[in-house]
Amino acid sequence: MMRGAVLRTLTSFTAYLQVGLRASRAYLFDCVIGLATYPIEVAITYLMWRLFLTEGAGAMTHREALAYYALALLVARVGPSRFVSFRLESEIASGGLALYLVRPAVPWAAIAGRELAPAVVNLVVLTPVAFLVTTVALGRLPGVGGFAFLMVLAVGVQTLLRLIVGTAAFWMLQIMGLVHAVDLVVRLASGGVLPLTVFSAGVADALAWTPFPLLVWVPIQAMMGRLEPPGVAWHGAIGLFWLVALLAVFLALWRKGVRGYVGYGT
Amino acid sequence: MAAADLAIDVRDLRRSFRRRKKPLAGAGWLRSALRGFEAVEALAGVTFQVARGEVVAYVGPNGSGKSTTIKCLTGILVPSSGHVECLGMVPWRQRLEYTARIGVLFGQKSLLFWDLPVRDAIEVYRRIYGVGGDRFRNWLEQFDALFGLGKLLDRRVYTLSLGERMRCEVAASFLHRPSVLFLDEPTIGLDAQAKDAVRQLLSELHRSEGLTVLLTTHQMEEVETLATRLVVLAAGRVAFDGSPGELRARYLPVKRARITFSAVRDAERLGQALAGCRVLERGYDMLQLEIPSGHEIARLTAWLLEALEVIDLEISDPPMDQVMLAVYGGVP
Amino acid sequence: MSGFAPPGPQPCDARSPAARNRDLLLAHFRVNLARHAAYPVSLILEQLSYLVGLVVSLVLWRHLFTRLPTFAGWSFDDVLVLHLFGNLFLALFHSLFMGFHSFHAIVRNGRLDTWLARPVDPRIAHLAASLKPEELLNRLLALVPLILYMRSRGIELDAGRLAAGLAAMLVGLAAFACIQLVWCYAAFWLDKSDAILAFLDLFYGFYRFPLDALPGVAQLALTLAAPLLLAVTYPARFAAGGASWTSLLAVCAASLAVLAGWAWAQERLWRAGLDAYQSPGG
Repeated sequence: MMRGAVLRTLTSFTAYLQVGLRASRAYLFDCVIGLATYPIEVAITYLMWRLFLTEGAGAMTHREALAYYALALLVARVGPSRFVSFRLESEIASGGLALYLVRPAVPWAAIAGRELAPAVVNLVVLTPVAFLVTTVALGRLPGVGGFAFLMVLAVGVQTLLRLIVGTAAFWMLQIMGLVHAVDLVVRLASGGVLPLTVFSAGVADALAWTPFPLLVWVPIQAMMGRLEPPGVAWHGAIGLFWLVALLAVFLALWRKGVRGYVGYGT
Repeated sequence: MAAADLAIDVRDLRRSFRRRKKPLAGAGWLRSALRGFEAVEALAGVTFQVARGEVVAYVGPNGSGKSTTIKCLTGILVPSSGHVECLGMVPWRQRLEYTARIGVLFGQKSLLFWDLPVRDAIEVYRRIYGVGGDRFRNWLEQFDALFGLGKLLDRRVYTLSLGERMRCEVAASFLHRPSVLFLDEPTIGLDAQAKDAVRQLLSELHRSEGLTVLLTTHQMEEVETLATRLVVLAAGRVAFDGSPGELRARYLPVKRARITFSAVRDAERLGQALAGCRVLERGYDMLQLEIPSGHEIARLTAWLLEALEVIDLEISDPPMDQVMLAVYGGVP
Repeated sequence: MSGFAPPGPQPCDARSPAARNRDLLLAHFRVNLARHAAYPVSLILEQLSYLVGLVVSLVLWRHLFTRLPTFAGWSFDDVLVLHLFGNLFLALFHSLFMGFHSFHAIVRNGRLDTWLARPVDPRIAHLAASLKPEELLNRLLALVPLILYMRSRGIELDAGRLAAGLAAMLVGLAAFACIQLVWCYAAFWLDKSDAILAFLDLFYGFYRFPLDALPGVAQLALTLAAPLLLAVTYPARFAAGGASWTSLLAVCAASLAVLAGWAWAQERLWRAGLDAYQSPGG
C-alpha cells in the first residue's frame, strides 16, 4: 500500500512536470524572457549588496561577491518558486482541487510537478552560465558533485516548505502576507540575500541546525570548493532529516485540510 | 425595413484572428514559435438585420462565428471590416453610450461574484448603470414576483444551484432596462426545469417590454419557444435567414408519421404507400415513416388508413435538431 | 409587468464618466471590505505576517549597521524612514493598484469581455474589482509598531517635509502603476507574458533598500523602468532631512515626466490592444 502511494505520488509529479515542460516550450518567448532576466537580476543584486560584502569582517572580493550572487540566484531559480504556494492556494480557493481529488492523482505532487517545470528549464540553461561566471570569477573550476547532491535535497526541502505554506489556504482567505513573510525569513536564513558569514558566529551556528542553510548557502559552499566530502555528508544528513520531518508535517496538514475541504466553485 | 425600425444592422461583417499554424513540436518548433502564425477568418462577410422588438435566434455549429458576431455587436471586438450599427450607434466607437442601452448575458461568463452574496454584485451594477432607488425597487419587486429573487439576494453565489444562478444573471442583465438583449447560450448546463424557467422568464420579458433579443444557442427547443426568426451561420457566413417554418421547408421538407395498428388489411396497398416514404422504424404493430411534405401527404395517409387497421396516427414535424443536422450537413 | 419603466437609457443617470468611475470604486471598496471582514482570523494572520516581515527586515538592517557605521550616506535611523515610505508605498500599491498588476490575466482569459460590454472603462472596473481595502488597513496597522519604534529612538520627522515626501511618493506610485499596466497590455499580443511581469515584480523586493547606493547608470535605468527611486528612496531621504527642497522638486519633476511618458504609452497601447483583442474563451 505504501509502495502504491509512493508510486502514485511519483507518477503524478512526473506527469504534471511534463505538462509544465510542454508549456515552457509552447510559450517560448515568455520562457526566453524569463531566462534573459537572470543576468540582470544577478547584476542588480550584486550592485545593491556589494558594499556590505566587500567591507568589514569576513569581507569578500568583488569577484567572489559576483560569483556568490550568480550561484545564489541560480539556486533560487532551480528550486520551486513561491508560485507553488500560490498555485495551491488558488486550487483550494477556487474549488479546482476537487478536479484533482476525483482522479487517481496526488494533488500536491501534481501541483509541485507543474510548478517545478520552469526550474528544470533554468537548471538546464542557467547552470552553464553560472558555472562560467564562477569559474571566471574564482579562477578555478567549481565543485559539481557535492553541489548536485545537496541541490536535490534542497529542492525537496524547499518544495515541502512552499507546500506547507500553501496549505494555510485551507484555513485562510488569502495567504499573500504569509508567503512573503516566510519567503523573507527563508531567503535571509538561507543566505539568499547575504552570505551567512555576515551574521555573527552564534547566529550562523544556530542556523546550521535548521533546514534553511541547505537551501542556498550550503550548495554554494560546495560549488565554491569550500566544503569537503565529510561536510557534504553532514549537511546531507541534516537535509535528509528535515526532508522527512517536513514531509510528515505537510502530510498531517494536508490530511486535516482535505478532510474539512468544501469544493466550492466548480 | 426603414432605418428607424432597425435595432441591429450588420452588413458584410468580417473579423479575422491570429492563430498559430501548428502546435509547437518537432524539429521546426523554434521557427514555428517565432513566425508560425496565420490569419483565420472567423466571420467572412455576415449580413443581417434585426427589427426593433424582434426575437432572433442566431445559430450555427461550434466555431461558426456566433460568439464572434455577438462580441462585435456588444463592443467587445473591433471588426476587421464591414458595417455594424445597433440602436443607431457603432458599438466599439460609442461603447460607453451604447453599452448603457444594451444587456448582455454570457452563459459561460458570470456577471456575479462567486464568493459574495448576489446583492453585492447587483449593488455594483446599480452603480455602473446609475439605477436609482425607485427603479431599483421596481426591478426587485417585478423579479421577485417572477421567480422569487428576494430569497436569493442574500445568498452567496457559490451556494446557488446553476438554475438559480442563471435566473439571477438574467435579472442582473435586466437591471437597467436594456432596449436590446444579447444572450449567448443562456441555458447552457441547466436541467430541463431550470431551462424552462429561464425561457419563460425571457419570454415574459420580451412580451411585456417589447425587447429586441438576439439569442445564440445550441438548444433548438429554445429557438422554437422564443424566436420568430432564425439566422443560421456556417463557416462565418449566413447560410439561412428566415422563419423556422421556412428553414424546415428548405432543408428538411418532410413530415414524420407514427402509426400504431392491429392488423394489415391490404398488403399491396401498404407496399404502394411505403414506396413513397422512408421507413424509419418498423415493428409488428407500429410504423414510423418520413413522408415528403406537399400534396403527397394526403394521398399516402389515405393509402395507409386503407391498408392498415389503424389504432393511432400521429403526424408531426421532424425535430428541429434533425433540421439543423440537414443544414450543417449541407443536405438541401 | 406593467409596472416596468420603459426600456432605454436611464433618465436618472446623468453622471459624468468620472462620477460613474468614482461610484464604481466606492461600491467595490465597500463590497470587498465586507468580503474580508467576514474572515477575521484570516485578517489577523495576515496582519501578523506583515509584522513578521517588517521585524525581520529591521533586525537585518540593525545587524548590518553594526558592521558599517553608514551605508552610502544612510544611517540606521534613515533606513527606518525608508521602511516607513517603502511599506506605505507597498500598502498603497497592493491595496489600490493590484488591478493594474493583474490586468493581463483578464485579457488572456477573456474576462475583459464582461467589462467591455458595460458602460465603464474596463481598466477602472478591473481596478475597482481588485481593490483590497482590508490589505490597506492591515499594512497601515503594521506600520504602527514601526512609528512607535522610531519615536522611541527620538526620530522626529518635520511635518512639512513628511507631507512633501509623501506627495512625491504618490506621483511615483502613479507612474509605477502606469508602467505595470503598460506591461500587462503585452497580453493583447503575446500568448503569455508572465516572465515580463515576474521581472517587474522583482523590483518590489527593493522597496526597503537605499537604491541611490546603486551606480548612476543603474539608477537612471531604474528611474525610467521601475521608478522606486522616485517613489520611495528619494522622498524618504528628503523626509529624513538628507536632501534639499530643490532636489525634491527635481524628483517631482522627474516623476511627472516619467508618469507622463508612460501614461501616453499606456493610452496608445490600450487603444491598439483593443483593436487587436481576440476575446479568448468562446
